[in-house]
Amino acid sequence: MAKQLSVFLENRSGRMRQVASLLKSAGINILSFNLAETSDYGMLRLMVDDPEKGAAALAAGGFSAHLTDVLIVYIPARMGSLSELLDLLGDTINIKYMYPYQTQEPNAGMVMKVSDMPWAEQRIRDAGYTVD
Amino acid sequence: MAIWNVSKECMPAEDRRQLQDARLRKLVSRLYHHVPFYRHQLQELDITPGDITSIDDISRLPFTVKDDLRDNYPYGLFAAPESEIVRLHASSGTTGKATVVGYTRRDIEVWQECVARCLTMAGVGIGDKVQVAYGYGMFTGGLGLHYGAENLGANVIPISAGNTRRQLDFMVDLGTTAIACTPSYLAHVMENIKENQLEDLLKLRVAICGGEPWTVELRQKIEDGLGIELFDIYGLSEIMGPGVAQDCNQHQGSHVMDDHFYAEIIDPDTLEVLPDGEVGELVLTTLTKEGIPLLRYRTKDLTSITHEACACGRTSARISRFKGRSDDMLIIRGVNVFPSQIEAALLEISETSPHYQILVDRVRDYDTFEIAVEIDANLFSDEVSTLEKLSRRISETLQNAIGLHPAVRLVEPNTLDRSDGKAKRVIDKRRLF
Ligand SMILES: [Zn+2]
Repeated sequence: MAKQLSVFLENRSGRMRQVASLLKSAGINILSFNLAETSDYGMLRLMVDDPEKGAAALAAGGFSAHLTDVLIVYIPARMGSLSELLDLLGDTINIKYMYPYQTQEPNAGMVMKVSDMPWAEQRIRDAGYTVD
Repeated sequence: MAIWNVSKECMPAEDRRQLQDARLRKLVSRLYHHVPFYRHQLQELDITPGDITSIDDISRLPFTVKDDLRDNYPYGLFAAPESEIVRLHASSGTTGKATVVGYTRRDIEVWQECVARCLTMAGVGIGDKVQVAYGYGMFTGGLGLHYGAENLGANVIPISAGNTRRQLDFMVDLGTTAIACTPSYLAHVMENIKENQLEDLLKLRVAICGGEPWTVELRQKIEDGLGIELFDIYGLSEIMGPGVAQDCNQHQGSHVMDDHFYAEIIDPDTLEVLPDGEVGELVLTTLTKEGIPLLRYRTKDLTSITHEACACGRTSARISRFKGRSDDMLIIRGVNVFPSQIEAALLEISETSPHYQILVDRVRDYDTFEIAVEIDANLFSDEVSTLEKLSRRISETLQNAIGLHPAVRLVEPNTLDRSDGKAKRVIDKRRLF
C-alpha cells in the first residue's frame, strides 16, 4: 500500500497556493493530485515523493494534513482496461475515490481507496496487475 | 385603558408593602416546614421563620440559583405534595438535563390572573381574537398565554408555533386581533404578510412578544410595518412562565406583578441589593407560589428597577429594558442556549472536545445559528462523505441537546479566534442589548 497526503482545505483564496509553496520549500515533488470540493471546504489528496516529510511540512505550516493508505494500481493503457479492473473487484466493494497516477509505459497508474483495502490488494495482485 | 385588577395593580404603596410583608412571612414559614433544602439553608443562617417580619428582611434570606433546581431534580424543591400538583413544565438545562417546575391549582389561577393583567395592559379584552403562536408543551409560553387569554375572556386560537402559512390563513380568516409569539417570529410573520400583500386583510392590533431579548429598532420596525402596538411580556419557567412582568401602553418599563413576585436588583459580584435606578441582576421571590416557591431566584437578567407610580395608574415596581445577562447564556430564536451544552454535545462526537465557535447573527430579523468546528486529528477524514456525515451528526446531536438546528461549518485547525490563548466560544453579532 502507498501513502497519500490528505489535506483539509477551507474554501479560502490562496490555500492551494500555500500548499504548493510549502511543498516546494520542503523540496517535495508532487506526482499526482485530486481535489474533492464541497461548498465550504475541499479535500486535497496528493501523491508526493516523500509523504512523511510532506505531511510534516504542511502541518508545520498550519494545515490539517494526514497520511492515508491508498493503492496504486497499474493498468494497461488501452481501451477497456479500467472496466476489466472494476469487474474484477465486483459490486461488494465500495470505491471511496480514485484518480489517475503517473504513467509507466505501457501502463497507466490509478490511485484508489476502497472499503476493504487488504482484500482488494490481494485480488488485484492475484489477477496479475502491479500494485504499489 | 382598562386595568384587569385595580385593587391589586393600583394599590397604594403602603398597602402593597403590607401585603408583601404578610406574604413573605407565610412563604418563609412554608419553605421552612416543607422544603428541607431551604430549611437547612435558613438554619445555617440562623434564621427561624419568626425572624422574618417584613419585606425589608428579604435581604437576609439566601439566594436560589438554577443549579439548585438542577441539583434537586425533579421534585426536591416542591413545597406541595404531589396530590396538589396539577401541572408540570420544564426548561432546558446546561447539561442537557431539564429543570422541572410544578403548579398547584392555585398557582395556575395566579398565572392566569397575571397573564390576564398583561393582556389587559396591552388593550386586549373580551371578544378579542388572540392567536397564541408560542410553542405549546413543556415550554411555558403557549399554555401560559392560552390560559391567561381564556381567563380574560378572549377568543383563543391555540395554533402553537411554526407553520407560518397556516398562521397567516387563520389570521386573515378568523380576524385575529392579537398575536402572542417571540419577536423574531413576529418579524418573520411580518415578512410573509408583506410578501403576500395581506396587510389590508388583517385586523391585527397588538402583539404580545417575549421569550427572547429584542432591540428597540426591531420593535419600531414591526410597529411601523404592521401598524400595530407591541408589548414586551417577561417571564421564566422557574418563577412561573410569561406574565411575571410586562410594559403598559406608556412603555416606560415593565410592571412586575409584585404582589406575587417580589423584585430586587443586586450587584452580581457583591450580591448587595442595589438602589432604584442602578443596573444589576434581577432577583425574584415567588411570594404566593405553592408548587415550587423560590426565595430570591437569580434570573441572571440585567436591568434596573423603579418604584415610581406610572402614568397608567398602576403602582407596581417597573423594570427597565434588559441590558444583558450576567452569565454566558444566549437566547437564540427564543431558546436558551449555554455554550457548555454545545461543548457537552461535541464531546459525544469526539473524545476530546474540538475547538469550536458559535456564531449568532440576525439576518432579516431572524436569528442565524452557526457552529464552526475545527477539523483536528480526531475528526479528520480524507473522505468527503465522512466529513459530511460528521457535519450532519454534529447538527443532529445539537438539535437533540438544545432543540435548535445549527448550520455546521467545518474549518481548518487553529483558524478560530483565540484571544490570549483562550478560545473565544461565542460571537454574537446581534447587538440585542
Ligand atoms: Zn404603566
